[in-house]
Amino acid sequence: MPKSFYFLSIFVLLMTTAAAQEKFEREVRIDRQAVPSPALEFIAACEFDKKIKWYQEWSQEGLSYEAKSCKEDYLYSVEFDSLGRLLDVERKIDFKAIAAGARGRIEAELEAQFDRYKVQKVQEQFSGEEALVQGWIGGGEVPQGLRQRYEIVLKGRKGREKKYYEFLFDLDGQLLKTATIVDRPLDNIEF
Amino acid sequence: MRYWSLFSLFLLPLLSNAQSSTVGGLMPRINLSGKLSSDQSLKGSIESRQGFYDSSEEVQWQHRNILTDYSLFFSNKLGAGISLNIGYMLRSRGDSWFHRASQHFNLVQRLDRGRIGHRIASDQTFVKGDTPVFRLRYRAVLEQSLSGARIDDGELYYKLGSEVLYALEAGEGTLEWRLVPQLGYELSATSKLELGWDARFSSPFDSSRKVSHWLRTSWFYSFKKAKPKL
Repeated sequence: MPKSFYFLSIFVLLMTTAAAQEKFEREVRIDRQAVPSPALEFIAACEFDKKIKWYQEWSQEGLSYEAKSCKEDYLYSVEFDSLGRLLDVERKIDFKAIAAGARGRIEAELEAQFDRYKVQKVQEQFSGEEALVQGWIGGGEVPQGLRQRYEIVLKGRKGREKKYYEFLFDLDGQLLKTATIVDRPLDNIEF
Repeated sequence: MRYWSLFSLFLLPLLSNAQSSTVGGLMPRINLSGKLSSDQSLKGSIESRQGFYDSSEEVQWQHRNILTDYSLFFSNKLGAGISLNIGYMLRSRGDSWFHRASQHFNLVQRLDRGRIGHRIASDQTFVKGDTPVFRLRYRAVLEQSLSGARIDDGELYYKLGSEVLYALEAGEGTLEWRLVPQLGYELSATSKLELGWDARFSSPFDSSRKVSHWLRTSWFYSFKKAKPKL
């Protein structure tokens, strides 16, 4: 092997070690034993159809726990704070499942923002009193007092810019928040 | 489950027993990439093949410096997860220099857990004193975290790649299958290491069948400022 190859390998490995210091967000799969008991009790009462997968996440907002499972063909994601108190519940739905009025306002907003877009994923987001949320999961009608929002991931084109975006809309289809999703480099998939 | 069905198609060459020669060794690789603009980037790589076993040689177990590849690609983003890469590779093998022009069309889909990449590619290889080789290839790659729904810094992941290649040389066509399972480690948002098996099989219908097994190690580095992930 050429000597230059060895020198380059050592150089790049040193660079990598330095780059590896910048770490600020992490999510890992965990066992249920590592989950705070209020979160376990909440999930047990929800009676999901499938096995519960637990995750722990560290970010700028602090430590949180997330449970993922299914009930009546819906994929649920339930998030708790570090003490196991409910933060919100997300449920994966089709874009067409959004009420017609709200959906129309969302489409108008997206058409105004993009030349072209394609919706990749839609989640209903619920938050409120734990008892209300627990009663609603898998129960059909959304009770009064729950805050309902829509989180939409899409790929969009604005002029020459083509990116993935995340949008947050309220129940009426009014835009609350938007963010660009920064993908990990694709080099190891493309080459 | 449907992704596994896709990849199981590529296991077919493993079923054949007709094999006449086997080569094995190490395949280290370094990949560097840098952005030119929001849509364009340059990607360079150096890859070497160091053989340690060759069943067709009189001395089968022996170190052999087989080849070194130097590649440079220009990548143009056509859409979110869609790109067209055009490149040139210079291969040093023995006393010969091979020249290869390549064209890659890539489509990378985001999954709830991980991502899947499709690559349709063509290349043309020229060497002095020999006939040119034209190849058409398709590759599928599945990448998923081993701890959680997404790959974060300091985490392990696996990558399963499979490729089928059709080569045309002097009017004769041949097939090749590749199976590349890798274990990866995300050092940072811009850097990752991968280690695994790279197996290459010529067509099971070929009378003089060739098989090669490589221990592949790859390092990917992107000269791009790390940004928060969603």
